[in-house]
Amino acid sequence: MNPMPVSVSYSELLRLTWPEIAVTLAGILILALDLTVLRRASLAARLRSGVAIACAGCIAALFLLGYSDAFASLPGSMLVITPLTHVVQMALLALAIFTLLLSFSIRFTSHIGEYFALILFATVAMMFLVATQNLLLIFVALEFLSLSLYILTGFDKHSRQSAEAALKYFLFGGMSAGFLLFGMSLLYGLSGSIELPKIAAALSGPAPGPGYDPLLWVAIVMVAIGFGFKIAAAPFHLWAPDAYQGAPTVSAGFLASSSKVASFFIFAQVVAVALAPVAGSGAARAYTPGWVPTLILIAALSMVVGNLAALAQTSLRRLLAYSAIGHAGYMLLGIIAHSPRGLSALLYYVITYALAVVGAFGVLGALESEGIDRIADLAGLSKRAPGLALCLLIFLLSLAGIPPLSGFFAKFYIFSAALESEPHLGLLWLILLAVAMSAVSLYYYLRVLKAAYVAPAPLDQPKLRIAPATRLTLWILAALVVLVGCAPSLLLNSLGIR
Amino acid sequence: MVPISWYLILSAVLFSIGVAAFFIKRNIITVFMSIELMLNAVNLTFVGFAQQWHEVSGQIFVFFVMVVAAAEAAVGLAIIIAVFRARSTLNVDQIDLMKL
Amino acid sequence: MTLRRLVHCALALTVAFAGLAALYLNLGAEFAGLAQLLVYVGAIAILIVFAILLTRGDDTAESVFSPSGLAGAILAAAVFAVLAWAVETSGIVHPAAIPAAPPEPMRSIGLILMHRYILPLEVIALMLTAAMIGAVILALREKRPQPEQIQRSSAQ
Repeated sequence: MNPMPVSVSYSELLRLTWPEIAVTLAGILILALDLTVLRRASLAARLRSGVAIACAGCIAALFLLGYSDAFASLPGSMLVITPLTHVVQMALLALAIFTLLLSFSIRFTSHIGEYFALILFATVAMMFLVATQNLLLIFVALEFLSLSLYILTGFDKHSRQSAEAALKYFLFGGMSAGFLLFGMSLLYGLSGSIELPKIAAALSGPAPGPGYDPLLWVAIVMVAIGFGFKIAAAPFHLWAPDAYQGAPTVSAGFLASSSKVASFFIFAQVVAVALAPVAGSGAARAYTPGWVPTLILIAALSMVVGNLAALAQTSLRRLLAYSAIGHAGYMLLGIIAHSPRGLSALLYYVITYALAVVGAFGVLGALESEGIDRIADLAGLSKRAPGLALCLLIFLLSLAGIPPLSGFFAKFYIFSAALESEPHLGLLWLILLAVAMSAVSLYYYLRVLKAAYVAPAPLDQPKLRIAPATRLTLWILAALVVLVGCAPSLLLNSLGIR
Repeated sequence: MVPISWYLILSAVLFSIGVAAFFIKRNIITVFMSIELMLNAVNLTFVGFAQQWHEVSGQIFVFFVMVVAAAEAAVGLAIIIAVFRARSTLNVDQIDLMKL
Repeated sequence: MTLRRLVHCALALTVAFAGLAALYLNLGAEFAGLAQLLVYVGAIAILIVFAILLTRGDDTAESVFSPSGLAGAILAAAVFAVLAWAVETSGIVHPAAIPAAPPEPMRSIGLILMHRYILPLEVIALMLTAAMIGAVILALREKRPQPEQIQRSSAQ
């Protein structure tokens, strides 16, 4: 019965994983240098060398990605490399570079080498995560990523909030892993395989196949719950506001951007590849059971809960956290569309979203080093730090979806992809809900900007001092958000929308 | 031989106990143990199905789940100790610096 | 999980782990059974007991028959009912007993791990490295607490 062990050629493996190896080596090099040569050096010197090595590793990986094959795979669907996974991996590396550049000013820990190494390891985990179609590697990489993120969240040993945030993230993350695994084990039981394409083949098999097996519905629900936790969609979002608030700013930005890109991509892969035969439909008059209706429920709930809860927040970080839940709802529309166009729209959305969120957390980091956290404290920001205020304006308006910025096109593409997916405008109600909730979100983003621009400045507040590296990174990010918004085809072409 | 469905039922029992304990228990270490119980339930289904399909990848999966669980245990208990050091309590109700 | 004292819970969990290991051996999954014994009974149970020891002094007794206990029982029953219904009505689960498969020899499992599953094996090795670094960092006692940051977090 047992198939002969399919051999993986080690040289092939080495050739295909060069980019990941480069990033890993950079991480180990940082650790080694930090613990030996730079042991007695000053904090600033260790920071500089750490950022330099880490960025060099990421840039080397970017080049290696550019020169590697466009299509490749390893036996057992262990690695499935396509142009799309290349783009996602490049986006992940770019986000890692921005995160690293923004961490020039971290002051919360003296374990610099470990911190950067963990960021790089998490990036490696995500690169593997997006390039595989095997449930085993998906699980291992996802847990690797989560473990790194728990540690990064709890890295600030001086702050009790940081430890608590790590704890909550860890407990909910562990439970979601349990649900996800249960779903995976049922999928394995139903199909006898842990490769996504083979699961799809088994599920679409001839009747009386397992296509309408009750265990399959349990599996779908379990997988949806498991990934729902990872992407922080309502009602599985309870950990997100605390984790975003308690984590060190750099970690929070990383958590909110990179891990979101990777999790959404792999979630879309799992449901769209493995569960393609049981998609079902959630259209108003053509309801058939499947994973699409389940996701529609989660998406609608996320949009409503996230955006309405964001209205009530006074802390900037919690506002971003709840709005992230709302955004997860919009992004699920791309998966619900269940079409290549939907996937491209999802990727465009999540990448531009990640750029804006990294930027927003970068601004927050600069503000928090001056003791500003509440929205009311922003008063007079446009006078105290005009550049920073302008960056914040660009990032928040992009998140809200204002036309010339990339957020608008992201919303436009994802809504239209979802609308086209069903005949007779079957999903119109969901799109209308999404548009209404976008209007709500505009309100609370504008509330922040009103505090920054209109509210009278308290007297005798000095100008804010911002590190040059942070300022430069923020300007690059803002420029990217505007550029991708004004010329969406730059990114869209590589994602496959014409 | 015992039918495979019995194993699945046992796994369902373990999983439900894990889920329930996760939500009602107030001590963090107990909550953590309930997560381990859920992972064990999953392992049982994997082994059961591996047996049914006469296929080895289920067993391999179980091995990887165990390794991940061990790593998770190390990190989780480190986090628990860090929190305990800061607060001297393990009751989840008292760890509420940040309101939901 | 209904026991009052934490140590008793841990002990019960260890027994459950050992019982599962026996079940795996019974199912002919020698590899999984032995690994279960080594990893869960040997390592994780010990870790949990260590954590209980290190955080002693907070062994609050909980009553089993509290409202939350009742809610938990109902929740467990509901989850179990759904799962059991799915298992029982499922067409995939053979109702009849299955013949015992010849146990997979350890050697072939090792070969499969090194050939077909070499990539996850490498990824998990990296993960263990990261987990070890992280666990040390998190459990490390920080030398110099900075007073203003503690004030900031308690003012929240």
